[in-house]
Amino acid sequence: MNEIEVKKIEPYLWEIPKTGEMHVPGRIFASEELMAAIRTDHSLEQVRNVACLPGVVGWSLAMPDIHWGYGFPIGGVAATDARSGAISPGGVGYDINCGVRLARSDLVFADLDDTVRRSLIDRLYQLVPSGVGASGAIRKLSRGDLENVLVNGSRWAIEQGYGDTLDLEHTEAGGRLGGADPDCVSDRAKKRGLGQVGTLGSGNHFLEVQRVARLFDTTLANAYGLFPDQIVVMIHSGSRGLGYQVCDDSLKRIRPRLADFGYRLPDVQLAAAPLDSPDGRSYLGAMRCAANYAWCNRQVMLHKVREAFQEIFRLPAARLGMRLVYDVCHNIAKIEEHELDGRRMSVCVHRKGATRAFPAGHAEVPPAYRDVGQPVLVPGSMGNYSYVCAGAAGAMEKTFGSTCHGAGRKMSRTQSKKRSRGRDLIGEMEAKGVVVRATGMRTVAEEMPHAYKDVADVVEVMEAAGVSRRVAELKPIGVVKG
Amino acid sequence: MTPGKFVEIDHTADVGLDLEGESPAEVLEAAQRGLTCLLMADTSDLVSDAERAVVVTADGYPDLLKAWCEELYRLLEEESFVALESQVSAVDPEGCVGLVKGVSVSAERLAEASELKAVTYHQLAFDHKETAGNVLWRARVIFDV
Repeated sequence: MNEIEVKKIEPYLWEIPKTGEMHVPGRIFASEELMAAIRTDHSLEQVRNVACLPGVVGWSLAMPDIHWGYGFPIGGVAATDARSGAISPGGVGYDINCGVRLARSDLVFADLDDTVRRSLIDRLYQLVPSGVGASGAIRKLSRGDLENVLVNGSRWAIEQGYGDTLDLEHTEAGGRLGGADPDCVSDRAKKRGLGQVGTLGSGNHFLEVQRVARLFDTTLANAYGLFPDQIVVMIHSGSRGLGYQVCDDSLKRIRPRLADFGYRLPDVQLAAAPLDSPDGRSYLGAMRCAANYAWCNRQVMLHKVREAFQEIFRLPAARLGMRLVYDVCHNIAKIEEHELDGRRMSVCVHRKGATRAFPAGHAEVPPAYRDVGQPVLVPGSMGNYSYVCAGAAGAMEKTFGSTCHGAGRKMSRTQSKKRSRGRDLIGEMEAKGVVVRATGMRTVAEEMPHAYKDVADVVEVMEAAGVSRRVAELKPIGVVKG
Repeated sequence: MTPGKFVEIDHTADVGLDLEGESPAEVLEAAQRGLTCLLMADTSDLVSDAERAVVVTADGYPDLLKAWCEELYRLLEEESFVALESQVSAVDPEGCVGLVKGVSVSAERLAEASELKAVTYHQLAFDHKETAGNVLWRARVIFDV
């Protein structure tokens, strides 16, 4: 059990008081029930450790889906002063710009009888490669193409015909972070990235066909193009081997240099470098490349999804109303402007397992959503449901414009496999109305709904805290897993 | 001499191995068996028909364990090569030389494997203890999946 001192300061907000080496207090968004679960691992200790990062401002924050990560907890948010603070690869994670993309359609659940649904999931499984070594969604990139992807992200995909410009408007940061420097990316990372554009990966990554099961706010749903019983598609993936390698390369370089930076950190995995240093700039340049790769990856997957729908329904994707609702990342570090203690300042916001949740009126919210706030996509476990939420004003006051990113695991993979042993997992999912296609049954066993917290509890906390609002609940009807 | 042992350990979101052996080489060989077990659902039908020389450099034993596991995973990801057995012939804190026997598998079989995002530094340990003249080497490694 965790013995960190935690005080409840609001109905859904807890605080770890600033003590010892902490520069700021820790703050955790959670209900009583979620806090009881959070206390069972080491994530609160990690919230406290993050509060010791050089240049951290405000609070070391944790979303309700927090769980034990490496250095930073997963579900952690920390902002550091962009001039004098640090950047931490551990505050982003290995899967740089892991994120979620949601496409809507004009189809309704009744348009997909059992045969059509199975054909569609089969075709998606064929067109979007998954699992280890997955490649071949599109031709292997040339070195020149890859450099272009690293600098231009989704824009490269659009230029190649994998989507349209409206997709860019509905992608966080337009699907491209400026300041990406391919010279900061190792040859090994580049080599891993050449064949993996348009591939899903493994683990908790997925592609789901879902139906809109419930609306919480019809005005917001209308703005996002969502309506009851509608068919939508959710893609959860990231920067694949290239991003993993960028993180690992950076950790190898930065870890031995902490003393040179004058950093004393409670956990070496917080390994950080001053933003204004060659090592800090190098990581930022490489991380932005990986982020751009991830956006391109999800853009190409969306193109493949559209192809599958076109083939099955024999209509062009545009006629099927297949438009991108939004694409958000939940593993990233970005330089943003925020107000703290009445002062406007430039900070580096680390979101590790946390989603940007900018409210109505924010300049970075696309024009189509500027009156209502950006869509926030929160996937749940594969048998249950996911949520579309909207960024709310409280996010700018309390969380550096961030909210939760998912359900959060409550059971280890080993435990989940043990609990799944001897069961007909695919049959159980079918009984729930979910067709599953997976490269390996082990991933399915590890990712069963019993391994996750209830995502409904997570999004409710953030709504009660005024950080994000629920818009729609999405139920899966078909899942492709690596 | 008994071979080194591995035990799969729990971590909320990821997986790891606790390892032990009478020498660093035994620990690394146990890591190979444990990693293959974590990555591949079933290897009972696979028979070694090829080998790879593995040479890794490191800065200390924990770093060596990480580098060894990374190289084994690279063989799987890049060459579809599943390591079924290994023999470490030379090892010190600065590196090791090993021979890995295994087999290259089809793309379909490879896709069934678990993907590793990283061999992490989280709780990474590789050290020894001497009790009554007996030396026992122990290690831990956590993988981000």
